[in-house]
Amino acid sequence: MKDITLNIDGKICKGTEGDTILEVARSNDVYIPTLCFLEGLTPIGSCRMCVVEVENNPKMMTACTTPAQDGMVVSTGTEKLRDYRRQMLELIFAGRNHFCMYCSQSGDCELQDMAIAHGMDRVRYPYLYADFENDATHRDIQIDHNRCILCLRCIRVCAEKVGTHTLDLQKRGWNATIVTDLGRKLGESSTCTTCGACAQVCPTGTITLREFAYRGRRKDCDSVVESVCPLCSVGCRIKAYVRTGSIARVEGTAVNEPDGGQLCQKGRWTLPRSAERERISVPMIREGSHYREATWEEALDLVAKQFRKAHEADSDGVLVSSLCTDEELGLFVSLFKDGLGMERIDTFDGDVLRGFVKGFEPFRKQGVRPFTAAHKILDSDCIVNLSADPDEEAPVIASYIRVGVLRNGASLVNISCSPSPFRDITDVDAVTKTPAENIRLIEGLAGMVEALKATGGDPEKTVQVTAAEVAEKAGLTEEMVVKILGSLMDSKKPVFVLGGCLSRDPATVAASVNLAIACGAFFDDGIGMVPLVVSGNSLGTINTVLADEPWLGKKKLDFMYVYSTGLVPEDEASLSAISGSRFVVVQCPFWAHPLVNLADVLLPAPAWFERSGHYCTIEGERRRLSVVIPPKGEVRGLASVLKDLSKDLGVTPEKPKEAPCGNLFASEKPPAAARMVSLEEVRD
Amino acid sequence: MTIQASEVEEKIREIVKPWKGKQGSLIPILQAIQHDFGYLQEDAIEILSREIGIPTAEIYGVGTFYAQFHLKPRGRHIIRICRGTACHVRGSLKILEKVMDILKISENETTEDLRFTLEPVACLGACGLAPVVMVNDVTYGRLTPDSIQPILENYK
Ligand code: SF4
Ligand code: SF4
Ligand code: SF4
Ligand code: FES
Ligand code: FES
Repeated sequence: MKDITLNIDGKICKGTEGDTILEVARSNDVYIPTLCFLEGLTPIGSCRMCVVEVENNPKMMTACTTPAQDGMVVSTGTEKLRDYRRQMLELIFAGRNHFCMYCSQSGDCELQDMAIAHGMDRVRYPYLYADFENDATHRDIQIDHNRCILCLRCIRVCAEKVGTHTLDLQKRGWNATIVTDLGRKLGESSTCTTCGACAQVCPTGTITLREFAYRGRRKDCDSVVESVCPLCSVGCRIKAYVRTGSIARVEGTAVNEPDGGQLCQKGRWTLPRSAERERISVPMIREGSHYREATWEEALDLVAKQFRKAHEADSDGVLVSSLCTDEELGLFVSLFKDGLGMERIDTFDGDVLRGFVKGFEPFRKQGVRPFTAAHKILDSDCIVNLSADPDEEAPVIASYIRVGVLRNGASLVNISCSPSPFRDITDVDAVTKTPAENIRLIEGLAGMVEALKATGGDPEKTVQVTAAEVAEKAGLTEEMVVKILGSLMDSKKPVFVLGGCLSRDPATVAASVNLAIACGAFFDDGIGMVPLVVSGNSLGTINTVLADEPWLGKKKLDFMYVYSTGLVPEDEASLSAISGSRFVVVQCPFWAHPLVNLADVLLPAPAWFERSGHYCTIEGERRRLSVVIPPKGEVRGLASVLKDLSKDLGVTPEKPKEAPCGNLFASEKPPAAARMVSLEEVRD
Repeated sequence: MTIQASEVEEKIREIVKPWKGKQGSLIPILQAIQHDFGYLQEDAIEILSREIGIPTAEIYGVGTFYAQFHLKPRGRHIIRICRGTACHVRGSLKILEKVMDILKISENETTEDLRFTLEPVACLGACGLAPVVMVNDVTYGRLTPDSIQPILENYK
């Protein structure tokens, strides 16, 4: 890339060939006003706020779309430009309803800010008083078309980042409006995921999230805290806006991040709403069918007494959430494993993670990182969905898949026991009848791809013969197997999305990685596998509290200590094993949770917004959970509670070890060094 | 119903076939669909979206941008009433009102029996004959509110 130099408003600005004028200006701290432009989205040059003058060129040019050229002399703030921009603003204001005092976004609106900054004190054009619809059909998202400036940011974010392309533009000129699907109302949309991204990028009061309206303008909030969403394995970064001690809104980070800075519907809504849930604020002790309040001292005494007795009888167990931070997990390990020498400690959904670890183990031993950052799906030309349901498990990954297919032209292959969750955009949908057939298919494909690549050519014969065999074993037609092979062989960089349900079976995990290796699915950070594990810190759980062998439900225990973040319902198997135990201590932030009914002692726990620490995300990054609001009342941090408890138990735990997850799947060798393994190695 | 749906599906597949994998094919495809179905019906757009991998919202956007496309069924006969200046001066509004009254529909609507669609248009380029009405390809001039009814009766 060639370096170029521009003169912008007399300042010498360096840039790179291919940059737009706006990009050069921004990277050199020269301000040019923009409205329709949003970093990370395709520029469309529609609002004309960013116009600049270029020497020897009579036309005004939009900086956001005009390529910068070496030696350009650019002016951004001449009288002519300011007049022109003001004129554009006046036209916008005259076109629709921008009577700000009746708008929920007043004071939090880029259009209003722009008008003020340009000294727009009157509108010289007749108002159109056009009457558009205020679409209130959606439960959470409101679209008042009367305030739309047609900047198309919402359409672009929905198409380019969320990938549902729910929104588009209908009609022309003054009659043009944003439209949903086939001319439906948003509440009737069949494609909208309620992620709220459109509202986050809307610069005006057109698309708003009802719950956040009037709860505090962004700039009036007391603080904005960056943290991480604990709700799935992607661990999206979030911004939480705090006003007078409550969470006013939660947003994704900027769209220009490599992962799109997205937030799915879970993060957008579950997080702020959880701040409104009723809290367990003081320790509680069960008395018959109800609870009575207790002091921390009394409650912990009782817990310690029961714990000790059960521990001596080797009948105690500990179950903690995989939504805990590395630091919290470290505390549990140092007290229960190292301090008390307990073996019965585990996480919810432990079987899924055990299968996961076992299946990946042979590849980890080879020193390669057996998976890649989730957003690398966007770099792939063939996405293979292995029994995943991303819209449920990790919706942002569903976005990557849709964008990969619709915008980057990747092919999409579904190999699973149920039809593709991406019905409309799936190229090959291979549905096997049983899990056994499914793994045989994956195994068979891996073998064939390997053989084909080894012979380096003429697919005809080998494929014909073996494809029939594989088809037979998998209960599919030969044609189907050949189709899948075609997609895999055509692909330069396939990526495999592994559904959480498959992780239970280590052989299927290993077979999938084998297939990825055979196909040459190598990314710079690891093998092209994106496993959808349970939660935000599943990877951190793996080498801290995860048990080597399952013990839950094998024996009726006298005592169980359970720690839940209360954000997810926790799995059925764990719940039923807990309910079979004699004395149960539940530490949980919220009243409304299935665990609460099972407890003999309830201890308050800090909620996600009151805790801090780190998560090991499948993006491969260690991300920080930060305290958004400090805990109130009797809610105490985990460290101080466990410290008191250990005193009562008479153990002095070591200081927790350095959080270990980062090096668990460290990459020592390039992924291309990975070798396929025999499935016997991982089968029980 | 199911039989009908698969018929639509088959037809769309046929229309799309020559265009598969080509850029800029949406408009000719929509023209072909409109030619075969009379208008861009919803299920046709949904099937098309699946076939060519373009989201329904985008197709809808294109369909509403160009005046040549129709998203509602159209009548067998199209009545175009000129609302240009010359015709206006010579009483085209009266004719429009009369037609609306006879057919019980308003502008840009279609009668329930799909017999007529009524479209006001700007100058038809026959100002000398004002006020002017076109039914399908035939132009009628020097009209009065009374002379319009017998004309419409010619179209079944
Ligand atoms: S959208 Fe912005 S400019 Fe328009 S009324 Fe609301 S606050 Fe005012
Ligand atoms: S909420 Fe999300 S999916 Fe729905 S229209 Fe907005 S951006 Fe698109
Ligand atoms: S709804 Fe908002 S983001 Fe979408 S075009 Fe209108 S003003 Fe822009
Ligand atoms: S910001 Fe450049 S035209 Fe809108
Ligand atoms: S104004 Fe009606 S034909 Fe010209």
